[in-house]
Amino acid sequence: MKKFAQKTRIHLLVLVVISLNITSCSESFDTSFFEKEIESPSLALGLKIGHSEYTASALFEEIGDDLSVGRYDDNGKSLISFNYSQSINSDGNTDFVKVEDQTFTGDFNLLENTGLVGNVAYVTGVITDDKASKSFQENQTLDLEYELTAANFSEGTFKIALETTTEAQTEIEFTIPSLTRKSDGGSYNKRFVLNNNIGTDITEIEVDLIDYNFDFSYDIFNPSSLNLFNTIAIQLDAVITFEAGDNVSDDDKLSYTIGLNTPKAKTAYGDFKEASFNIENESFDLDFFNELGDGNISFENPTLKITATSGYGFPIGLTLESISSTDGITTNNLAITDASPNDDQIEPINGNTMNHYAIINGNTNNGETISSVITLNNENSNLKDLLNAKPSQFNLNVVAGANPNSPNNNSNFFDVDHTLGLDIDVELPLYVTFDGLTFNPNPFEFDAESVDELEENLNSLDLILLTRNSIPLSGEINLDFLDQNGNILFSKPASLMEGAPVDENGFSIYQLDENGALKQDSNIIDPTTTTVKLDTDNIKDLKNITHIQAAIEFNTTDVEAAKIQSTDKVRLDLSLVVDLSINGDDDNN
Amino acid sequence: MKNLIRIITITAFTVLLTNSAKAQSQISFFHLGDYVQQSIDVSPVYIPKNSFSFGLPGVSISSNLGFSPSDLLTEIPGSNKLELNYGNVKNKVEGDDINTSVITNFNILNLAFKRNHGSLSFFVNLKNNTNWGMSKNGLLNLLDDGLAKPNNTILLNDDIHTTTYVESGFGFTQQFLNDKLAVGIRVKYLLGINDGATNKDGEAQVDINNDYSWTINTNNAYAMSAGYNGEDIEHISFKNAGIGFDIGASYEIIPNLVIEAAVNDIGSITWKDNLREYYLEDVSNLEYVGTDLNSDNDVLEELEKLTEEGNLEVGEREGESYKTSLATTSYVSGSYKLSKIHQFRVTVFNNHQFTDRESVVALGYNVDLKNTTYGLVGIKNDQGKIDYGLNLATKLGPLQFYLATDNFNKIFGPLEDINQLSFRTGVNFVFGYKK
Repeated sequence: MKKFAQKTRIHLLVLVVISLNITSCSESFDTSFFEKEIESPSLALGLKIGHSEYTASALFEEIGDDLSVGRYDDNGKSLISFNYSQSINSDGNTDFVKVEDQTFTGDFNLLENTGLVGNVAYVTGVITDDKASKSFQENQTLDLEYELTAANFSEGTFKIALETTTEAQTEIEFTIPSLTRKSDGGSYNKRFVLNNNIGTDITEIEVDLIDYNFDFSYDIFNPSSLNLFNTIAIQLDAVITFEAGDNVSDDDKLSYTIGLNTPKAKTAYGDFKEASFNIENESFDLDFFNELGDGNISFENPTLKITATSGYGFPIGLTLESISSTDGITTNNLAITDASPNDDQIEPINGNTMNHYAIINGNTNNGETISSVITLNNENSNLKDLLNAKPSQFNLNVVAGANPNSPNNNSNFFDVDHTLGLDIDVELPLYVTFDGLTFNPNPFEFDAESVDELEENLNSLDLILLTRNSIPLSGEINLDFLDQNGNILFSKPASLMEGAPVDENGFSIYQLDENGALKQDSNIIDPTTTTVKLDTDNIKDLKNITHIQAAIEFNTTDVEAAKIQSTDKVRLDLSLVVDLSINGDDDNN
Repeated sequence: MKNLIRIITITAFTVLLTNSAKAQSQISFFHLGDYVQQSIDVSPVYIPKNSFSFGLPGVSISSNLGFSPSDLLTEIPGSNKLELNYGNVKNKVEGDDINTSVITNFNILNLAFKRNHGSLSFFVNLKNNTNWGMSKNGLLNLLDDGLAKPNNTILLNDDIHTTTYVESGFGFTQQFLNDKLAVGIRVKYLLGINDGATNKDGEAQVDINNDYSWTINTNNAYAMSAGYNGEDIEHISFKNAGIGFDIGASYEIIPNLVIEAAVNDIGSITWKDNLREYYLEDVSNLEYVGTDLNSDNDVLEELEKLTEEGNLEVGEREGESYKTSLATTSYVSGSYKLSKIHQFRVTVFNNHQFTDRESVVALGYNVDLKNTTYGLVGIKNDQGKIDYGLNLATKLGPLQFYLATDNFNKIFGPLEDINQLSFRTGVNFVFGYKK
């Protein structure tokens, strides 16, 4: 019985085990979970590709070849500025003091009051010792538009010719006190002999002006006064020697002719009046505005600086209103809006208050130079309007003249070796408003070889763009994917950048430090993060991509204009996130 | 055929997904007691019921993945498909680490002789213990697309240890006090095959920054190995050796009331041959930030620079001799047999390798017959959860069949939710019977 019980229990136990096995294999033992299809495993990987940092200077330098980017000091901060420089040709003024060829003549009654009466054949002894002496003085006046007090000439001649109606020998000491020899300072004088009884007549002579100095202020009748101008003082001292039979008359004349031929003044002193001064018109292209495309730019505080370095002994006035800009259709002329400051070198033209001179100072010491700076800006002109019209060309059609607004009583000097250096600097500090200004900095290489190898296992590929912007301009970044020929295979909008906030002076309050961190003081500012998803077609194109270009379009965020500092930067950090199938697509086929 | 597949599936999970470190208590197997000669692996006190038994070569594998299939495989919403979901594993497993282990025991030789007041046994086992305290922020984080998550930290501070050794020796049990007291001891010579471990205090940390750049810190990050490296057989050397003990005792306080205690795997192996260390140079805040896109540098070049000298250089050096202790476990048990058939037993199990774990407490009932025993065990495991065990040993002629599982209840739950299961079964040749 006991054995039976034991066997029975064993059988029961075996039955339990078998039942368990059956149970485990029955439909109620649900293994359907493991019969489900399992997706191919995937793994997502993120990898920082790198970064690209663009200073505001570098971005703006990309705009145009004609543009140089400089720095403009604004309250101790370095503001980026566009700079155009142009030197204006002021040659062609060697004949600024021009003395035309001209002739002076004069005559005197040679034998008047010598005791001769009538027209007779001379009889020895009629006049004591058969000789008579006479002196004649005269001031001749040059025909000039200036009032010269002195000059010397580098070229030209001074030709003197004498003649007389008497037959008596006439010796003449011809003196020109206005004309002094450079060699010894003595006045020019020359002995002429007419009707020479014993030799050859000397009736004319030609003098090279280069050897002499002119003093046009000398008054033959009041030598110490020196109050005259344009004057040539002449003195003739004649000795007449009579011989018997000379046909003489108390009416005989002695006449002279002085000719100035092709005189070219080297130096001149006096009052040059408002003589015109030659300055060539210059223009320079503003291709930069063409680069803007549809974008607009507005400069808040452009300046045009005229820097003149003059050796001339007279002030020169430039007519400012002839400066203009044009877009090829419309021409806008400069207008001075405020010429009231005394030290701005800008004055209204007398009698025409709508137009103004820029005054270039005249030198006071011959041989030295003097500088003048005339600045045109928002405060004194409509320069901003000229530039903000997006002109294609800027024209410097200035008209120049001496002694602006001073027609008389000037004390000037001139030397053909004097020069006028005239530089025009247009400075456009980036205190601006932008609308759709696009920059295309150099593209960076993108090696898609590895991606190409993984293409079959690539489920997705995202580019992650982190943007840190310390430039107070908002903007958009588009990524252009280029092939080896520079063709854009596809483009992706990549980022909407916030413009950096500005302080009360309009400067960005953000800084991008050397580690690429965007900070406001010591606080870290989070970057703008954008995910650029590449679709299947994009991924297929990747193998042909060699470069990526980040096209950056800026806009000003606020109504207030932004000031762009040279230290302002925008930084792009580019990363790759891929999702890869570990086993490929085999399981799905 | 379908059922066969399921049986294979079940078997695979019972073998491969057993929660060994926790279910390694093998309490259900322990409760088979003297019926099965292999029980000397868990209790050195062995009073055979047969004069001689010979265990066929067999294998015992138990592993703990630390999570269930349904933790790893989740259904894609709106489809009937599954996907690997490492993030779900991270969320489901409590704590910072996932404790994974695989313990393999090849019984090469097992002989047991019954003596008048005790037993004598001989054994040769090939054992491998692999434990991986897997950082949830490490590999799992990496597989969970960790490199693609900004502001993420991948922390590799895993505690990995694997040891393979051969233990051979003998067991001796002697009864005293009219057989009321039994004392057993097993002495074993340990031949180390190989050993490998990460430095417990080492770590490598990669911070994924918000722009996917990396900040890398490493500190004492190295792994050591000893013995056979899979290439040169001469490194299976007697230089890597040690001695181990299992000791135990049982005492019948009053008739049918027995208390028993066993401490297993006392000892260590000293590793002296072929000692190598593989290390990462210590780096502090090493940055990988990609390249300057406007330069000619290449991203791959920048990555290569990370492993250049002075950066995250990988090196190999000779290691120093070290000891590894065996995974010591203990059982304390009390049993009462009613009517010589109905045995009730309370057992407390402790794994002294993992001091942070709770004791396993079990209450079992077995029907003890002459050649057969079977029973149920209620187990409060070291996670505080209740499992139910089942055991059976029966002799049919000279063949003895036995099986034991500590997770019988898991069979009735969803298969995909199984995260711990132990199963041990085998066949012995047994000869003769002595009461």
